[in-house]
This record gives sequence, C-alpha cells and structure tokens, in this order.
Amino acid sequence: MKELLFIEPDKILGNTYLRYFGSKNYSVRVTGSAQEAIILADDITPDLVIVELQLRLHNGIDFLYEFRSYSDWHQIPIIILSMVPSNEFPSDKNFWSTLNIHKYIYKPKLKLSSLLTEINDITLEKTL
Amino acid sequence: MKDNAINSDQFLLKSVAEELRLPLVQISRLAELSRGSENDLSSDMKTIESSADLALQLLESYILGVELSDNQREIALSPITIGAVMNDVAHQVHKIAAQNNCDIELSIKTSKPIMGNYEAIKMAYLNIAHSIILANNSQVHKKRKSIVFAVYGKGTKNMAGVYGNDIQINKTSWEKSMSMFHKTRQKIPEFSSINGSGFFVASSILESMSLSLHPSKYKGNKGLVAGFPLSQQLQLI
Repeated sequence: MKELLFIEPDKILGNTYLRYFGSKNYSVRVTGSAQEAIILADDITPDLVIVELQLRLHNGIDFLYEFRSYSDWHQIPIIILSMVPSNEFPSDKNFWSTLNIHKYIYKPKLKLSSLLTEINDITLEKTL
Repeated sequence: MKDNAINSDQFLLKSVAEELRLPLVQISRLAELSRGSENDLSSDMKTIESSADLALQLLESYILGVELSDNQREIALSPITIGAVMNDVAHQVHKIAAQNNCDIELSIKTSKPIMGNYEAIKMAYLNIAHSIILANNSQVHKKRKSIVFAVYGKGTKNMAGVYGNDIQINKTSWEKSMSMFHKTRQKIPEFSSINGSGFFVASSILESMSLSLHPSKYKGNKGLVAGFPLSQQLQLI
C-alpha cells in the first residue's frame, strides 16, 4: 500500500484527506507540524508528500528546503497544496526545479477527485 | 491620512476574504467526501454547519465594523453589564469549543454597569473567542485546550478579556501583528490555519466605540483585553 504524507495544519481538512484517500487504498498520515513531518517521513518513507506552506511558526518553503536536504528524500515526489496563490511564489524557475516540486495546487480550487487522479498518476509513475 | 484609512479597510477586507476561504474549502470538500459515502453523515453535517456559521459570523462582523466606522450605523448606548455580554458569548461559542476539544471557563468578578452597545460588544468578543479557539484547531496540538472569559474591575474600568491556555500572544507579537497586518499573509505566525482576521475585525468594532484591545495575561493564560469605562451616572443609581 502506498504511503501518503499530508502536512496540513487544519484539522477538518486533515481528517477529510485521511478519510477520502484512506478509502482509496492509500495509507495516509496527516500532521500539521513541519517538525513532526520530518520525523514521520523518517519513520515511514512516504511515496508522496502533500504540503500546505502556511504552517504554525514555520515557513513551508523552509520545510521544503530542509526536506530536500536529506539525500534519501531527493526523489520523493512533492505536491504543494496551499492557500498561497501561485503569484506569491518566487518567479525564478530554479525554485521549482531545485525543490523538485511535481505539482502546485491552489487549495480553493481543490477537488478531492482530481487530487486523487494526480496522486494515482504520480505513485503509478514511481512504481514503473 | 485618508489614503491610509482606505488602504486599511482594503487590507482588512482582503484579510477577511482570505480567512473565509478556509471554511468554504472545508464545506466544499466535506460535501464532496459525503457525496459518495454510505456512512452516517450527521457528524459531517455538524462540521459543515459550524464552518458555515463561522464564515457568516466573520462576514457580519466585518460589515458591522465598516458600518460603525463609516457612521452608517448609529451606536445606540444603553446600561449593560460586560459580564452578561461575556456570558452570552461563552454560551454562543459552546458548540464550536466542544467540536475543538476546548473547555470554557467564565470568571466574572464584577457586575458594575457601563454604557455600551450590547450587540456590537458581543460581536467583537465572539470574533476574539472564535479566533482563540480556532488558532489551535490544528493537528499539532493534542492537549486539552481551554478558553477563559474574564471580567474584572481595574480602577475606573471594567476589564473584559478572552484568554487561551494554548496561544502565545503577547505585547511584542500583538504589536508586530498589527504592524505586519498590511504586509504579510500569515499575520500571526503562532496561528496556522487562520490568519487572525477575527482579532482585527474585533479591534475595528471596538475602536469605533473608542475602545482598544491589548494583550494581557489572566491566570497563566494569554489573550486580549479591553477596558470599559464605568459610567459615573450609573454608579449613582
């Protein structure tokens, strides 16, 4: 079973992801803390990380750089699922390639079904 | 001066709009989740209801704040006790607090009357209370939370404050939040899923009544308090 790690500070949305993707044959872990996410990732080695950038006392971008600093996790795909609109990201294209971000999704436009399609594609690609 | 005032209003509106996205995303995604479910949906329906209620509450408060500051709505004053307002607010947030594993405590030490507008003050404190409860609505905090509604006398004022056992607001962070209000998305870094708009809306409502919010401590809890001047005429009655 593929492991998904969601870093989501809101409890209601976190539980929604847990229930929805849990019912789609994924093993789902949810945490609201960047620090706990690092510990969890070390524990389970997720197949995919889905991260909100607005975290308590933490800048999500810093988390991404920290996450990528571990050589074992260079290839773990990351989806940014955030309330932060794309125009607030660095315009430098290197930002996306350096951090190896697979996809950015603006949270107000999220549909669980389309996120499932993305996740299925990414995890299938990883298997192949 | 006027340009700054307009900008402040616009920033407050943007902040409220940004904060309203969260309950709407919650509602929308829970509805999507529930659509395909054969399970009992009563718990989801409760969450949907409270998310919608919170969104409406914030909108109504923003509208009230704008109308009061633009003098579109008159502030009718009458003799009230702040303890009664806080009691009312505590009752009204009961459901949201329960859903967020948050205990409520009321500490009313004085019942001296003041002249004030009951509904406007209640609206301001509802927003503060919601923000304190939801500031900790994250996966991070697993300990039992509590919120304290306190009213006590201090000199010629009745002080009314709302405090939480798990928020870190203090003089420095509050001043920083107010000064960063126009500049950053995450206005209060200690908060995760909300941006603290409820505090700023409450502050604008209270300011229209010449009252100001400031950070304070009560029984080891941190929160925000405002001082309500006692009415000398009412003291004579």
